[in-house]
This record gives sequence, C-alpha cells and structure tokens, in this order.
Amino acid sequence: MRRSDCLDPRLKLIWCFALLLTAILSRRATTQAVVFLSAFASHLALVGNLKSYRPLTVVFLIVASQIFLMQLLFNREGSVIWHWWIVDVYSGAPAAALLGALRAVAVSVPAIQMAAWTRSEDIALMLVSWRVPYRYAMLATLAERFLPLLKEEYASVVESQMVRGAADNGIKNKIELLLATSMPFLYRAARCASEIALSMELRGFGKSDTRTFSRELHPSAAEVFCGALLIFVFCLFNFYFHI
Amino acid sequence: MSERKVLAQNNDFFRTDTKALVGSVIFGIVFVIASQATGFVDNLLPTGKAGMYLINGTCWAFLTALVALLYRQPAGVVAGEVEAITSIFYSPLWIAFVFANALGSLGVSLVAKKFSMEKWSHHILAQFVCNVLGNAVVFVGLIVIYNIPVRVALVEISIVIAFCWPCSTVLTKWAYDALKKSGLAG
Repeated sequence: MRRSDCLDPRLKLIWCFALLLTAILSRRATTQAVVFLSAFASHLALVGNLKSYRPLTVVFLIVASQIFLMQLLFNREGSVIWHWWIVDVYSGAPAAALLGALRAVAVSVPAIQMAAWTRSEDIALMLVSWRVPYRYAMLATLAERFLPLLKEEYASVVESQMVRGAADNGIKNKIELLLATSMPFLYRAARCASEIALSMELRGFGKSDTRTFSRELHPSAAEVFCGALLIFVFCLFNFYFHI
Repeated sequence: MSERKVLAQNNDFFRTDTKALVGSVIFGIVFVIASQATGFVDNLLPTGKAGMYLINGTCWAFLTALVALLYRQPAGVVAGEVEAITSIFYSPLWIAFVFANALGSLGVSLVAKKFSMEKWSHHILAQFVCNVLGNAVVFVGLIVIYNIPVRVALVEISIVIAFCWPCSTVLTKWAYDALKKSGLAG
C-alpha cells in the first residue's frame, strides 16, 4: 500500500484545488513552475517515483508546440524582433507562449496527481460523505471497472472492420475507419448498458435509499489540521501576497 | 405518429432509472475512447497542429447530444463529466471540458424538451446550442489556460463551430434514429 492511499481523499482534493487555482490565478511563469514542482515533490515523497507522468510528456510537448506556434505567429505585443516574408514575431510572444505552456502543465499535473493517488472506491465514499445518493456516487467505481472492458470491445470492433478490408494506414483511411467503427461500437455500448443495468437491478441495486459500505471515511485530527492549513496558505499567497 | 404524441413521449428532461445511469457511464467511456481516437487523428492533420481539433470537436458534439437524447439528464451530464475528468490525462483544457460538457448536454436537453427531435431542424437547433455553449467555454479556457490572444481564440473557435455544427448534426440524426429504431437504448 502506498503512503498516498492512507490519506483522506478530501485532503488530497484540497491540495489539488489549491495548486490548480494558484496556477489559474497567477500570471507569473515562476509561480506556474513552483506549482508543478510542488506537485512532483509531493508525489515523490508519497509514491517514490514519477511513472504516472511519463506518458504525458508527449501530450505536453504537442500542446507546448501548438501554443508556441500560435503565439509566435499571431501575438502582436511589443516590437518586432524577427521578420521573414509575411511573418512578424513580436517581443511579447515568447514570454506569453512560455507562460501558456507552463500553465498548461501546472493545471494538468495536480489533477493527474489526484487521479493517481485516489482509488475509485475512495471517490465513491467521498461523494457519499457529501450526501450524494449512492446510486450516483457508485458510478465512479463503475467507470473504472468498465473502461478496460470497453477498450477491448473497441479493439475487437476495429479488428472486425480490418478483417472486412478496412485499412488503418494514412489519415484518409484512419478517418474512414473511425466512421466504420462508430455505429457497431455504439450498438455494442447500448446493448452492454442494458445488460449491466438489468443484472444490477436483479441484484437489488437502487432498491433501498441507503447502502452500507465496508468502510467509512474518518479524517484524523492531523488531516483536518493540514486541510485547514492548506486553505489558509492558499488564501495568504493568492489574495494577500498575490504571487 | 402525431407531433403532439411524439413530443409527449420525448419531452421529459429527467430520467433516473438504472439503465440511464449505467448508460451514462458506459457512453461516457465510449466518449473517452472516441475522444482519444479522434484526437490522435486530429494531431496528424494541419488544423490539429494549429490547435483546431475539428474531428474531435465533431465527435464531442455528436456524443454529447446523443447521450442527452437517449438517456436525458442527469445521464448526459454524467457522461460528459466522465469524459472531462478522464481528459486530464490527454488535455490541459480538462477544466474547461468539465463546464463545456455539462453546458452542451443541458443545452441539448432543453431543446429536446421543447421539440420532438424527429425533424432535421430540431437536430440543427440542438447542435447549434450544443456547439456554441461548449465552444464558448473552451474559448475562455484557451485564453485563461493557454494564454492565447483573444482574437486568435475567437477565430479558432469560429472555425471549429462552422465545421463541427453541420457534421455533428448529420451524425447525431443518423445515429439517434438508428439507435432508437434498434430499441437498445429505450
């Protein structure tokens, strides 16, 4: 069991929102860097590695390239620092692009951390503790359970279409394959939903207004104190020091 | 069937049975898989490289409307939120999607409450509301999160709406009629 699993999900949520809102409210590149470095440091302290973020490197590189491209082509702040044919690059563009790229990372990392730290059962318990009816709260566990199964379903639909002659090389073929797989996949999903709903109802899901869970969330005094401290520090830095 | 009878069958805003709740999660996952597949194709296109996800946007509007029409509310919002929360793994605009998906879905449900959704004009209106509301939120996200100049974000969003509105209308009408005819989502 990881150390992050022992923490109350509400404390993790406060940490996530504190970082997230700091990234959105601040207009400084250094603050954005501090936000995601804080997230990385806390992740290293509680989990011991940064494996969860590895697949995101490509996503962040694509997003950063898009932001830099648009800023360099269309930003008109400052004076012209580079000119070629009809392209003018203004002095305000690199700083604005850097801020945008860093904020994109700073907004994503705390949310990914929250998702990596929190199990779906904990999310269901957290929602129940906020008086969300269990029929809705349990949808989080349902989503986690069925995501890999539906991915397999989609892979089998794609395979079936390729056996029938569809190709997946080149953009045109990829778009055609998307269209060819959409309806069979939707039919399968609708049938799957009907069957799961029926089997859940046959097992008594939704019959009673309440449901007993095998465990309940009880935040410790230290967790409550940390949560309050986080809110205080967030307000202090954002609304008093304006970092 | 007369217009009034069809409207009486379709104009419920809420549907809270187990099938609708499970359907919302299952279609939310379909939404996630479709978004990943279309996002991958969009990244290969020149428009995607400039940040305009035309195929992804069409898929988003199509599935948002389809779930809201088949399973109504709160299923439409739940499916949208499943996609929005999962999108933290592939888009920094996830926080904009949280609001865009909810608003888009509620917009479609409001149109479906007023109209029978039997005619093309009903779907055109529903998709207009869905595309405009959703992309308006993404417009704010582009400015706040990506720090893109307002004029550039406005042009991008206008192009996305102009492309996605007709495409998603055709797809939604086609798929909604087919799924209704099959009786699988009733």
